[in-house]
Amino acid sequence: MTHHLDDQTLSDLLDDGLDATARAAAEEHFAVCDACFTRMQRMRMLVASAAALPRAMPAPAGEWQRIRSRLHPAGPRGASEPWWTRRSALLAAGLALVIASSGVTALLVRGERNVAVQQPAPAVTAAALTPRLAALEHEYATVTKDLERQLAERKHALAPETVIAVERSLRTIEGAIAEAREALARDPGSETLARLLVAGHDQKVELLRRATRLVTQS
Amino acid sequence: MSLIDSIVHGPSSTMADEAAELARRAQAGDVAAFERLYHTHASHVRAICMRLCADAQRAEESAQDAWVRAWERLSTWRGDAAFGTWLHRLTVNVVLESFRSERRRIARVMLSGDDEDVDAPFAASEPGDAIDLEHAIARLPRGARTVFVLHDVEGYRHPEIAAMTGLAEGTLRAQLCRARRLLMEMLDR
Amino acid sequence: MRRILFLWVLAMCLTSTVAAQNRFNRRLPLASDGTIRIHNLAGIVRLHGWDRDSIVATGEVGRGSKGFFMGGDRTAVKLGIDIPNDDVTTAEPSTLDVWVPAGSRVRVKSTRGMIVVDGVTGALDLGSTSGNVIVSGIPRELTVETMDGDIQLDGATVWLRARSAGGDITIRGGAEDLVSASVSGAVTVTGGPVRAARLETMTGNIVFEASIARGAVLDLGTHSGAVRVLLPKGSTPTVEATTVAAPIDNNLTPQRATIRGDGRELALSLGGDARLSVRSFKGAVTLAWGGPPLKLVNR
Repeated sequence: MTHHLDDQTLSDLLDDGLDATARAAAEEHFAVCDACFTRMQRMRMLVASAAALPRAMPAPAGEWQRIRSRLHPAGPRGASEPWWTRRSALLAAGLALVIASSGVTALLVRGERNVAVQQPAPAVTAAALTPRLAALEHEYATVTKDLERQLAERKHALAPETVIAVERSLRTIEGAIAEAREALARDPGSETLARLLVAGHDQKVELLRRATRLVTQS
Repeated sequence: MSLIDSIVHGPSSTMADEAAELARRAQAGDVAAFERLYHTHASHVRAICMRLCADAQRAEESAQDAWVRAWERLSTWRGDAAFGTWLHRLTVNVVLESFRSERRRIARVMLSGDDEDVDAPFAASEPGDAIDLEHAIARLPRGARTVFVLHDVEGYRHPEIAAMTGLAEGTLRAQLCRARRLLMEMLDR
Repeated sequence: MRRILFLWVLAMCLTSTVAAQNRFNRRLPLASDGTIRIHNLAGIVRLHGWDRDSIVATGEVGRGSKGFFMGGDRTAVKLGIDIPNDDVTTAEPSTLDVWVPAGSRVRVKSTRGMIVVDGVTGALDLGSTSGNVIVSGIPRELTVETMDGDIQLDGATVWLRARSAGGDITIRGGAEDLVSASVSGAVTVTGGPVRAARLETMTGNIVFEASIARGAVLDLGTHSGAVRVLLPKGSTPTVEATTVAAPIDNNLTPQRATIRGDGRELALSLGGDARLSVRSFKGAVTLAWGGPPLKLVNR
């Protein structure tokens, strides 16, 4: 016996891709050709093994933080409720902002409790943000630090005017972030300020990402 | 139901209901709900990206892009399919788009020696090398790997794959055959 | 004398040969929905969409460049002008004109060069660090990124992402889904209709003078740029505007913005289902019906 079925025929047979005539001919051939029958079985086992592969693989650490930093705070496009009624990821029910300064009473606002708490003096003059906002800023800091490091390593490959443009824009964005953060410390209930702060971080991440891509794609 | 149970037996109706509720909340802008969806489905998204991209860094980028796209396009999920099914297809489309747009590598362009020919014959391993199925899949040429992963691993049908990839069914069958043949050769060593 | 004449003629011939070698004219067949990747880091790229299943590239290689290359198959082509080490400071600008099937998916990259596109209806991914990008027509998808270059679209698109750091972004036309962001450049959208838009700046002004589709979702945000919204008469969006330390000048209705600390808040409904939100730290916000341009005021 020298005639054998080709792999395409075997593959199509496996997927029910042959018409009745071709399928019958193939089955007849298997009855008299051990080589083709064996090959068919091997292909069948391969497909079965593939179907049994695990559907899950562990996601890398920190992935959610990286994704979160890229999500627009205004929500997915086409959300049905007006934005100001949506629960904000930053200022959901139960969040509290503590302002601590020398001798000033700290207030818990927007939380389930409205309690005045005396803070010991002297206190830190810098404002402490809500835990969730602080955590979000930490995530942004992690992402931008990594991008800044990549950019610093490859800056020499950028045209001088590009470096100047990037650094100038970064200073602008960082100034805006600082202003928004300070204002948020003074007005902790302001969802507008929280959104502006997040928008500033988004712009910074986006700028660094683009600048880094300029180098890696050149 | 544990994650392993959901993989082996499929999600229970309770889990599917919970996912649907989370998706609806996420559609309204609830990032916390979206995060919970992430934690439920991240490993599935990771798996499909790893197998299609065969490169950890690209898989990571594609997975992140898929989640961002899912957030942006949540309004297009109407509840007629399970959220996981919708997300899975979206992830596949994100990866395939990245191949097509050639953001990172040129596909099927022979040029200046600086681009990989992703349809080149695969590099045979040395005789005696032990290789498992996952590694073998990763070593397939991109076109064959894509069709094999979508059909034999993920269970998509030919017409669905044709719609996603833009390939004709005849080409798909040829690519699938090629993948199976190459895998058998690699695994026989 | 004869020798001088001979040498002069020889010099002219050599110059002409070099010039001829610097110019190029190449053609390849390409499917109507093919993929094209183009780069000319140091010079201008002019891209034209046409109705033929082929790609043609012409131009001139500037001094200091390595040369023009073009290759591929019927589905994908890559072409461009190489310069040593991708260092644009060492090469004179080259010119590159490319005709592509109108429905192609095209990616163009430059560093200093301008990118000019017309007639492409497929997908465009354009990037120039400091060159301007000008697109006219109706590309289905448009992604444009510059650092300092200005971005201009005259036409309409389904999906648009335009980002710059210092450049101005001007969109004259409509978009289904538009995100436009500049750090210090101005973002201007006129024409329309626009169905979904997010316009963001840090210090650049934002001007929105376009018509809005039913159910549109518009989100304008800035740190200190002035924001001007001119709505076509008959528009009926729900408007929500907030500033932290700037005035809101509402000329849409008699309603005045509420004072909140140093800032203002305004929420008004004109009856329709489109939504417009404006968010500004210290850039003044002006809302008005379409008319002569209002003078922007930052107090």
